[in-house]
Amino acid sequence: FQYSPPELNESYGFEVKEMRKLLDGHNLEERDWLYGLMMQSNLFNPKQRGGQIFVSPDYNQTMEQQRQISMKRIFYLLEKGVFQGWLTETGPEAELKKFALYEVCGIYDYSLSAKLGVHFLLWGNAVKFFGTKRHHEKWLKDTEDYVVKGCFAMTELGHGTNVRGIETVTTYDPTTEEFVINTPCESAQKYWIGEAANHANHAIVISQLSMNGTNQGIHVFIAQIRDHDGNTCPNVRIADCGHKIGLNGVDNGRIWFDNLRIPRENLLNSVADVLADGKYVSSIKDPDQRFGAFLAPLTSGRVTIASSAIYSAKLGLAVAIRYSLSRRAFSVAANGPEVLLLDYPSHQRRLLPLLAKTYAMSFAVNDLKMIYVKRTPETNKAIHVVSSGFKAVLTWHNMRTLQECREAVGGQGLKTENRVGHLKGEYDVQTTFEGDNNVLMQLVSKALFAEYVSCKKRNKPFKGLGLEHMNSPRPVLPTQLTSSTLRCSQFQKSVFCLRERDLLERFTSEVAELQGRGESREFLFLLNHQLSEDLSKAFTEKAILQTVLDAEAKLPPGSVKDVLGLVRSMYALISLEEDPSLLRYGHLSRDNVGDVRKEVSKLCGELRPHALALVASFGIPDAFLSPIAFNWVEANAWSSL
Amino acid sequence: SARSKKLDVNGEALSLYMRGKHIDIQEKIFDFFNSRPDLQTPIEISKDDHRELCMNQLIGLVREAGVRPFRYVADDPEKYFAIMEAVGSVDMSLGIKMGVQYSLWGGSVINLGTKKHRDKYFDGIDNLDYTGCFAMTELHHGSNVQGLQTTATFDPLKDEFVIDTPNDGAIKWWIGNAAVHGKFATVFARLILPTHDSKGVSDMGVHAFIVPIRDMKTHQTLPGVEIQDCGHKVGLNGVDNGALRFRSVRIPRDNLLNRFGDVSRDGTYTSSLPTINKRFGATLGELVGGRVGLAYASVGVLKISATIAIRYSLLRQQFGPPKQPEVSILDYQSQQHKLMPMLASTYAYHFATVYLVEKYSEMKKTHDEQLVADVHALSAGLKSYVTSYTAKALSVCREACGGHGYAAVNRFGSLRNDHDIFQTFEGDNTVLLQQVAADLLKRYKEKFQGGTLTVTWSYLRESMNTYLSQPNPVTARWEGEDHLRDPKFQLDAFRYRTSRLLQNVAARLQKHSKTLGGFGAWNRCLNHLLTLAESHIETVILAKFIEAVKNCPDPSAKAALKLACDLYALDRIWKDIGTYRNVDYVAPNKAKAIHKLTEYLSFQVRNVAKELVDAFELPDHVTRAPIAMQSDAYSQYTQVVGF
Repeated sequence: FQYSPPELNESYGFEVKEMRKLLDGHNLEERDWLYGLMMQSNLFNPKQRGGQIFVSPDYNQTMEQQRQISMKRIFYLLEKGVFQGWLTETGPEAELKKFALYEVCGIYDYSLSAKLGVHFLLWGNAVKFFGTKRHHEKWLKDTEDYVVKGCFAMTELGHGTNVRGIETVTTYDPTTEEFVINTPCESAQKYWIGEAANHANHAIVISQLSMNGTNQGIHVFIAQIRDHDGNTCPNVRIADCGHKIGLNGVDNGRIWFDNLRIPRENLLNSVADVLADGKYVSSIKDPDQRFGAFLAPLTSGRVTIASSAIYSAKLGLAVAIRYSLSRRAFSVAANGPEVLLLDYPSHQRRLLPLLAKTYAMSFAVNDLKMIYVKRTPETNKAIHVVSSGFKAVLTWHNMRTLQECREAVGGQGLKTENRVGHLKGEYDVQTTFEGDNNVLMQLVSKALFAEYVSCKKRNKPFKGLGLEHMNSPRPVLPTQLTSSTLRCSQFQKSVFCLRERDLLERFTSEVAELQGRGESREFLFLLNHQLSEDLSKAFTEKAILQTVLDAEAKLPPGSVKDVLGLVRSMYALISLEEDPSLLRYGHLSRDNVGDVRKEVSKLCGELRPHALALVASFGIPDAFLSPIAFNWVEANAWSSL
Repeated sequence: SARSKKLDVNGEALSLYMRGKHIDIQEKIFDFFNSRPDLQTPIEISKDDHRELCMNQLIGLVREAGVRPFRYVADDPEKYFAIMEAVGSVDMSLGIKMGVQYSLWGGSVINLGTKKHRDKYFDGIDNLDYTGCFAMTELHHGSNVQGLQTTATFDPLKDEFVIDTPNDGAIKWWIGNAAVHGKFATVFARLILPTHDSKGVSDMGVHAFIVPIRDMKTHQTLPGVEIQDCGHKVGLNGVDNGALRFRSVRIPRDNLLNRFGDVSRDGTYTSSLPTINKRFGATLGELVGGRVGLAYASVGVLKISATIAIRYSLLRQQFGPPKQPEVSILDYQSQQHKLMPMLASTYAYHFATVYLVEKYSEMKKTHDEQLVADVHALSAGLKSYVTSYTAKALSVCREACGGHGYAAVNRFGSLRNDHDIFQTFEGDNTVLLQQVAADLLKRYKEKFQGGTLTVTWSYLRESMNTYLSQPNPVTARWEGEDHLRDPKFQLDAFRYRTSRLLQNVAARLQKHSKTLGGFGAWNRCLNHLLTLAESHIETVILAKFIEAVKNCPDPSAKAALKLACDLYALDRIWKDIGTYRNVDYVAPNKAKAIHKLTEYLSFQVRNVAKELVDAFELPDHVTRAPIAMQSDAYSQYTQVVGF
């Protein structure tokens, strides 16, 4: 058997550079610059395999070694100016650049980007959004330069997703003008705090504020936890969270506060403040609204999680598809050549729909980033809802994709150096991180419910959250679904809108009916969690489809647009095929569902010739893929040892 | 931070790695001369006294110290060169005088002669009873040996050759050992045989003959031989260079060194080689050891001068921040800039010339044809390149030591003057570089005719395919320290440059030869050709340095060598950054990073400079410069002037 590179047999049916521009969306030069910086340095563990250089961490290292090398990599990138402006510059351009560089770091190693996420997006953004002028001046530049190393102490042993239930309590001592932070019981210990075990010297502490016996709710404080030499401060206890199933380059720790005293100025007081005499003041009177204001700045975390999930999926797909274009198994004709894996319809079925979804979600996350960086008080609510939905759907998609890719490369998927198997352990945390996906889905459906009820009650048209289609008559689907009908963007949009509309109406109707029997609204939401999740998923998938349609509409006629049309159809139809609610609620007949399924198979065949070009368009340098994506025979040859 | 941490070098391990195989005999030589004040060369000495002292030094070495270099000339050249290096450290004149006696005169006898010559002359040459010289260069012909005019005409009636200098241009000139001490000369002359055709004579080309020039007992000049003194020279005044004119000097037929061509009693010529050019090439080929030795010795000189300058720079302090101790002058960036790339180069040339000597030894033992060609080309290139570098470096060292560099006792002047001749001796450097360029072009042509490339040049095969394609636009911008310090990148850059220059000069020659003819085109492109040759030699040197670093067993010594190697490579790239920039092989940001890193590496090499010079293992009584004494700073210097 002689290895034959896919490039020899496949031709690119469209301009790969153009597609890459669409997919990455912004800051391509900066991305390539950072890829280059990592490839240049021995800190990123370059290895020669099969005549080619690959960079990826040495996951064989101990947890301690992985943590240390992660920090060294960060200091290297700091020295090269990668983090310049990450906290001190404002505006859409600066934020988009930050997103781009963050995404590239994640392609190399999720521990690297996760540490950056903790330091800049959690600690840094907390100072930026919760703090005021004095905090910005004191902390942001030092944070950007890693003079201060921060962590974000929110999650507790007993409370994660339910931030409101946090038990850490802070009181105020007017005689010394200090806050006193205390961990009252073991379930209140801060848990899974990234960077706390080894590197952080300061923490954002999310705590209940108790003033004169009155609980004012969640507030945000800065506490120093280590001195300049790295020794734990008095009245702070820190323990290690130990080895994890992934992300062992991040030093997660646990923190207890034993009546730790901090200066009054360390309250991040953009929403509420405590005066020297102990008087509590806030411009937002309602505690619930105040709580909402506290949570709003955390949205950027979900944006970056959704985005990094897609880049991880891209990496897995690039490896698995490239491998499937050079690996052969079995002959279908007597004495004929063995068949390429990706020429098997079953293999196409496993990978190409996931590729199409990844494309669609890539457009979705670009759209989300744009909305985020151009945020206004009016759009914050929509951002909150959409980012929650995207975070859940995209991270679930990534987990599924990585599992499929791991299996698609067979035994080689067991090998850490081939990356696809290992990525699954690394990215697993995303499904519970920054909010458990299931809870986030309920959050989305509640928001949709509230919007629906609000508009109905006031008899006003729907505006925002993409619900405007409900101001028009309910779409009518054709009885018979031909191939051209199924590929028609209008049909796809209609069926997605119909699904969302119907599920929302069913959900509100169910809640209203049960509410009439005297049940509380919260209890009713719990009872209807299945319908709730179907609705949230429908909402999110429709939002994703819309972003692909928007991207496609901007393209001039040509091969990129044509292929993107195939991709969009594949995304739409596979989403329909996989959703049992369409059949359950009667939107599609059994025959319709069968037609959809057949069309998906046809699309697999049509996308197959473009598979190599579609993964090449991801723009990930070869060095960041893995040996089985290239000459895997030579990479495993004796001469390579 | 970790970046500025000083390397902690195991000096002993580094010395051991640098140490030659024949350190024992070198130490024996050093100890002998150190114990004999009467045989040490004073700072001030007249030409005539220096000549006598030099002869006495050689006699002392051979007859009293018991060092017998001649037996190693053929059998163990590495050992011979080690002896020469040590002797040259005592006094460069002595090194050259020894070389004249054993490499040139003795070497020509055993390499160009046959058993009868060996039997008759070996012992006398070995024990210095038969002092001799090597009469090749003529007033009118130096590097162009084929143009020699001295004649040796066979007289069949008396069975003798008659040696004649037909005109003043044919007078043998700059002949070492001729003015005072030589009793014999190997004379290179055109062999003229009588014929029975109308011309009457036949010119068989240049051959070598043993010609007695002084009486063995009385030391009087023999009849027909006229010897004049070439007088005071810029340097090496311990060597007695003289001029020789022959008027019908008769020598026995047996005095023809007849390994490659012979004349029978009846005047019939026989040879194992078919043409005059082939015989001439074989004759000269046996003489390549001289330039191997010169390249090796030149590095020895460079080591001494670098050691003196660097030790002084570590010792001397001047100026500094207010109210703080004065700063060592080696902590000044300008001083680092002068001396640290030089120290790195010294190491690079050490490994390259050690390799050359090894190859030469192997060649002498195996007579492998491919090795002969390799050594010939490599010795021409290295001799030319290294001796040119050393000559310039001596001036830099002189200046780096300020006013004290100007004091004769600190040796820069004498070293510089003595070494000067290395650049034209055994082949003018510019002519030798042209030979290298010609070889490269020949192989460039062969490349496209499917020829085989020898080991030294094999990278050109790959380079033609790889390096001359468009530069990589991604790596052209890479400026990371790990990348710039990657030996693969460094060697790639050197090879790229050579390939680019080779391609360009081939195109230029082709273009100009249409209008100017071959010689005119060559002359028109001469500067490009010289640059090409230098580039190739630098590539070979770097490859050997990288290999030496890789093979070093001790980690800390290896790290120190790596620093020096990186500095050597990046400094050279920076010095010809124009070539790399012209074709965008190096982007502007990368060029800037290279410059910055060379400065940083100079600083890092400075931190281990003491260990690096100590590894040369040059005792104080060999360096002999007061400003370089490691103990009793300045005390020896003050004693020299009388305090």
